Amino acid sequence: MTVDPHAKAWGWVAHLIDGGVTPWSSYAGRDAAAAGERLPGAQQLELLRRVNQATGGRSRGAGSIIRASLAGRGQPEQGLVGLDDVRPGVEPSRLPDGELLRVAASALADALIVGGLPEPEEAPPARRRRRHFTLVGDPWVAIPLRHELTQAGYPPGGPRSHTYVVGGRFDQLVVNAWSAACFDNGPAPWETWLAKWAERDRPPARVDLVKIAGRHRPRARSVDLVLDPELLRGLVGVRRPLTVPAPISVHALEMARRVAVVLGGLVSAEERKVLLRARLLPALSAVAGPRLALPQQQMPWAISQSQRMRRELTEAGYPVHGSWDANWDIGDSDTASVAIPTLDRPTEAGALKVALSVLGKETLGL
Amino acid sequence: MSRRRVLLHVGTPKTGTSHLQDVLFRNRSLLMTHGINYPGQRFDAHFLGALDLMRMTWGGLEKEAVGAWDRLSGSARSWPDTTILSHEIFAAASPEQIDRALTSLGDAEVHILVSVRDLARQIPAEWQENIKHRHILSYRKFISQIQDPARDTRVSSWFWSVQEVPAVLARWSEGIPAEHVHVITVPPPGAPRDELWRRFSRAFGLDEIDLEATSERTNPSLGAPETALIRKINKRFNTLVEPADYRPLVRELLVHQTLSARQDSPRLALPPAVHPWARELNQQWVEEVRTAGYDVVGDLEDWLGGPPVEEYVDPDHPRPRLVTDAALDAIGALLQENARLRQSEIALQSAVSAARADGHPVRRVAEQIVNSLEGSAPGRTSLNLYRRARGRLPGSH
Repeated sequence: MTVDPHAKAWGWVAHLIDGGVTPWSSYAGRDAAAAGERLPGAQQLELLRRVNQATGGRSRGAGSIIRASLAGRGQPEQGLVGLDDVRPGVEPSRLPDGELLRVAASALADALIVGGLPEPEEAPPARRRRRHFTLVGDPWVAIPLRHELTQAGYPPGGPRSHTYVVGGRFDQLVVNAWSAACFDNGPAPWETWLAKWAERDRPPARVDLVKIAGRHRPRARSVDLVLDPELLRGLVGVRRPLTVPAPISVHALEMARRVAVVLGGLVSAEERKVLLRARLLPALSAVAGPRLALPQQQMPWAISQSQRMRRELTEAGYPVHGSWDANWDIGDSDTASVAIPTLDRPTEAGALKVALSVLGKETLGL
Repeated sequence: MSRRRVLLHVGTPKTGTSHLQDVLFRNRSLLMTHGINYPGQRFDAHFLGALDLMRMTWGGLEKEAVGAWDRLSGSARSWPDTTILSHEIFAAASPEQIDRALTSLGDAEVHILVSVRDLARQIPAEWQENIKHRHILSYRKFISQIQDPARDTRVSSWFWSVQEVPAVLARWSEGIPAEHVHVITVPPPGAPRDELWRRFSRAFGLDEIDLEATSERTNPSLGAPETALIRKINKRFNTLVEPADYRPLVRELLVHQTLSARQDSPRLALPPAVHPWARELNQQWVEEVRTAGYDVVGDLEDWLGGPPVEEYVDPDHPRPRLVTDAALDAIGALLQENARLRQSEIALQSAVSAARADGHPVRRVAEQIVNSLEGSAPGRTSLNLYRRARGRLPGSH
């Protein structure tokens, strides 16, 4: 029987580092000598235990998880119940998901930083005979397509470019704007962010296609609205198919958002963008899960914005590629695709599940 | 043996810390001639250091905090004498963050300083600070959350992380001799105006230095009707006003420049029914600090606080006439500021047109913009933010 609770606690830490999944309250294994000046916090230890559960004990990132800082605001760092500690003692398995997410976001941010910025990709020389274009609009589509086109020798820009404004159904544009921001500046939580635009009765700035098109009009050779991204290939003069990015799981977006927020205080804005897009996005794209959809109570606002933008874009006389009816108008809810499961908001439980799967993998170099 | 000392002032909020930090910052050159280093080229360098150390977000300001703690600790390591680091949100640091902080200070002799004030004054002050930072929680719910032993809301977990003084002291003083831990008590109401400064000066070893101790940067308190007004503004307009606009327009223009001048309005106080609970907690804390043997600057009896107020004014149900009165002052301030900005815009438009017509360099227009912005506090705030972003303030990152 253990007489030294601290030795038992260090034994439990060793058990977790070895891939164990026994909760603290049930641990009756071996004691161990102290492996540091202070026991890791309960939040960190419980996250490791959950990662072990998710990976069958095959996680390689135990050390970085238990050393991760508690990011942001929440409960103070907790200790283990039954120990004499300056920290309040808890049974770690009862910690709320939000507390574990604070550690997870920190650990993932650390992993991205430690992994370093990817080597800059050297773009091939631009093809001499190519159309000059600028690609703006829906950032979830435009940003990766600009990159793909550059890597294929069709960099955007050039004198007297055609400007192509990527659009689509307004409810999806809103989701895409928030999604893109999750891999950029780390926006406010989805519901807070959405409420801001709905209350202002305006579209989010990054998908306010009327303003975007208007800004480019004076300098561009022409400004065209592209409602179906599949048509871009022909418009920019590229033969090979383009990879129009698919939406990713709503919980993966929430996890990315939290990591982006933590990274915001650790690296420059540009470095953050690169780390999130080049390293975290590929890891999260592989995670299955429901997609984000606009909540029903915001649909009247979405329909109103959609109709207004269509009217103003039509009045402005921009050429349109794609069909307003098929690619723009928001129909009745039962005309939307119901084959793909959707959720109108992320959950902490869902985001934590994503974190556990990513933390357990080697992808981020943990 | 190293002579280096670091005086690390880690809390608590609402104990006159803004004034202390302002005096230290404005007198930093003079302090250096006396062997005291107060690092940082901007007044909020220590705040940014705290955000960096604790990986906290703060309405977008965290972007300016990248590397801030390393700069502060680096300065402390390279200074051969005494360095003062001060920010009240250090109180919330976790043991792991504290370990990192203390390790980064090298072999300096570290002293921990905590300024404390009775809960009867801290609770309304913290609620008001929440409201000044865009929150909308009622005073009743605020008190209810902090009294809940679960402490599982954002409000209550933050409040206790920075205000539960024995826990703050325990976290920060682990491994530090008791005689190097200093508790500074805020004097009771009615004490001489400079008594708090005298206590800070004694605690930080500044008595022999002729510092300019008047401060531009204070955190003036609002009355109950004024706080109620700001809460209403938050409820109505939070989704319409970005944080970067809220700071100069609401916090600076309305709160600090306009509504805080209304000192005749009823003050915020702790509800009499809550007073016994707060006093009992303070009593407990006084005993814990006394037992711990820390150095006390001031009088621990101050920390017990005074009796409950005789006439309590509930900020959740203020007299409508008083709120309307405050609102009219606020509208007046906004009208004046708006009028000034309109005139400025008209002048700038003419200047731009003239510059285009005459082919004058853009620099003249830029100078006019700068002159216009420097004419008001919100304008100066905007200008400073712009300059920082462009790396044009000394020591900008």
